Amino acid sequence: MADSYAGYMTPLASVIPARARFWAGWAMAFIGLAVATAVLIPFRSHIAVATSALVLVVPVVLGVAVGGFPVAPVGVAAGFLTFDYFFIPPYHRFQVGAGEHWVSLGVYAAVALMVSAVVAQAQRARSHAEAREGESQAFFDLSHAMAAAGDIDADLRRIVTQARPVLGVDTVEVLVADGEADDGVLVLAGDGAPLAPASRQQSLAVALGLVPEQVDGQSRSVVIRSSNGPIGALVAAGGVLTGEGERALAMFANHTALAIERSRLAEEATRTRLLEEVNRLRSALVGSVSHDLRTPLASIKASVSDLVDPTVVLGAEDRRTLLSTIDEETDRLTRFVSNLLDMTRIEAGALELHRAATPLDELVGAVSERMSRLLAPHPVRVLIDDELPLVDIDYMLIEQVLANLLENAGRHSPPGSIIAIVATQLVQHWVEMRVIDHGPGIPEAERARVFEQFYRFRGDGSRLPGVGLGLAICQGIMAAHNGRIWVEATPGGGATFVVRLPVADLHRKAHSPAIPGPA
Amino acid sequence: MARILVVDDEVAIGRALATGLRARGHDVVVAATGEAGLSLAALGSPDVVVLDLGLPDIDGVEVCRRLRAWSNVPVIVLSAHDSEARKVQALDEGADDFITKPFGMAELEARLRVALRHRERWSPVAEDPVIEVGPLRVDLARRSVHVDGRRVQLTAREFDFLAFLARNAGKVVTHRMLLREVWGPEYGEETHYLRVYANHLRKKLEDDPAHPRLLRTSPGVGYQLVAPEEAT
Repeated sequence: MADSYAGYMTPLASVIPARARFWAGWAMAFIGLAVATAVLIPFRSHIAVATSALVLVVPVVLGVAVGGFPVAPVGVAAGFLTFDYFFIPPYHRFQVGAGEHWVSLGVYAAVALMVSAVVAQAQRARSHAEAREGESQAFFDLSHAMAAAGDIDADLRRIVTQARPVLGVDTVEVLVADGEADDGVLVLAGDGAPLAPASRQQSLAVALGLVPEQVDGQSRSVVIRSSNGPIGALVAAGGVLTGEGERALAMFANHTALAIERSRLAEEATRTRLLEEVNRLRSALVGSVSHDLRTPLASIKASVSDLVDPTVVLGAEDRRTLLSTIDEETDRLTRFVSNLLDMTRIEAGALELHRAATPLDELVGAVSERMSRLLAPHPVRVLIDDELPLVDIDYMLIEQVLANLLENAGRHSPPGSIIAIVATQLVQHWVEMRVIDHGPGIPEAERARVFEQFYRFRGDGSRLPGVGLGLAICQGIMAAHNGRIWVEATPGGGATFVVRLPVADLHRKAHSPAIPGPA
Repeated sequence: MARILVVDDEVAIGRALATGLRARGHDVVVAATGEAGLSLAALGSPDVVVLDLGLPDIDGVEVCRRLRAWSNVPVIVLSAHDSEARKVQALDEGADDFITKPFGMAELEARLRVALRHRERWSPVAEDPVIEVGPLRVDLARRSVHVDGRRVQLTAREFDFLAFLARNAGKVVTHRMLLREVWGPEYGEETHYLRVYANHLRKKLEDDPAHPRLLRTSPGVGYQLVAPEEAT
């Protein structure tokens, strides 16, 4: 779109400097006079003196039309002398024969001058209008482009590249004061020949009102003012600015200020959004941590307060129930605190793996033994192939993954339902371990989300019990192993969590020495 | 001594509460969901309900509301720090008292005693316009108040304040409930009024206004008029 307005944006009057136009006008006047004279001379004895005068007005007026009014005095004088010399008898002499020819000469001079004045005036008005139209279009295009873009660097570049031809100068730069930049001045954008550091400092200081302006006519700078006060300067150098140019420079400075302001607002909005997100996560964390810490604490406190109360008489069976509650809930707290620490390390990217070739059946045995009390209401079935290769894992972390999965399975499935742990090697380099329960399962739409942190808390304030950090940590740990975790539906109802663990290198070599494993 | 229904989905807490309360001589039933709690409340007609707010199926506040539709059984809400707002909602919906996790069994037992005592002492359908709470005697018809047989002069609004607490003796009455009842339905946030009137009442009613035994404050929640524990 900008291209189609190129004619408006760079009007002739703006592109050709005033001096060049003056000389062009002069040339036109002289050449025109010469041509007109050459054409008229053969007929001069047959036509009236007044006719030649009228014809000789034309080149002068054309010259003025191109070069402006400064061409008029010289043009009229040249026309006057040409008229006298070639067309007023006696010819080829600066003499005037008859008295009436004085009148012709006088009228010629007067008419040529007056027409020149009128034409020059009209010309000025026209170039003025054209310039304004060009500026308006330039500003319109700028606003339009800025509204669409939103990248501060592109906005400023667009402003300077449009400003330079409109202002008719060699260089336009956007400068801001910056203590960290060389020379204390940062150039945000520039078009044309770069300014010297010294003139940048000078221009910025002038615009900010720190030093008085030096009238050298080669550089103008105006302040860029945001709602918080002055922020920098827009500098036009290498050209003389007219009144129009001054006005345009001020408008470009306004646009620059708007662009900078806008990018600052956008930046603030982004920062605010980020803060909100952090706050949301933080309150979710506090909520989750508070719940997960308090629930086991509440059971422990209730049990302990009974055991220490001398007024309460407890039977042996009651004591054992309370003590085992304390035992289990302490384990639960420990698991939660480990999860919390792991989460912190995962988030900080500081999760260090201590990998070793590990027999999965040992790990499964150890974890299900440790969790036997929590899993007591469920028959637990373990199916692990004797031929299963060793897996290359961090024992402690994968133990944590399995513990989290078993805890979820135990909490979410009805007492008496089977929980199964199945490990198989389905593809060459991976072992898949499945924890299968027969609880309510997880709706398909929610299966990816259960691995999000603090997913347990639903929007309406009610909660899915026991799914807090645990699965998010499992996912973090599996990612650190380059493995995967996902959830499927158990055939017949329930959830099946699948972890895919890497087969240990060592084992692969032992079984297939022909295939060299990666170093 | 009493039939207690515990509604909590956390198996460990249910087990600890049941063991402790049984050891104190109560009859305890545990429900793991809101629905189960509501049907056990209807079938077993417990003397008091201990209700956790974070249930897997129905929100605890909703359980409270449904229970109050047909029952006056005292409800003690188990709340956590992250459910402050819902604790107040539950009280507005008719719960009698709350206790914040983690808590000791002795504290729960004390709340249970208050709930049981006031349940026996007064019911909203009673014809008798005189309410007695410990040494305090409030005559709703004559708008007169006695402490240990001594007549106490109250302003009209002080009396309304006290009368509302007395009609709900043993229950934690929230700020909002008090303001609506005593000042009018357009009030609800002006808790500073309440502080002023509570202080006036304590000066007139309590032996030691700095350590109130009758008119207790639940910080940030409301007030509770209870009979001071008889020396046992």
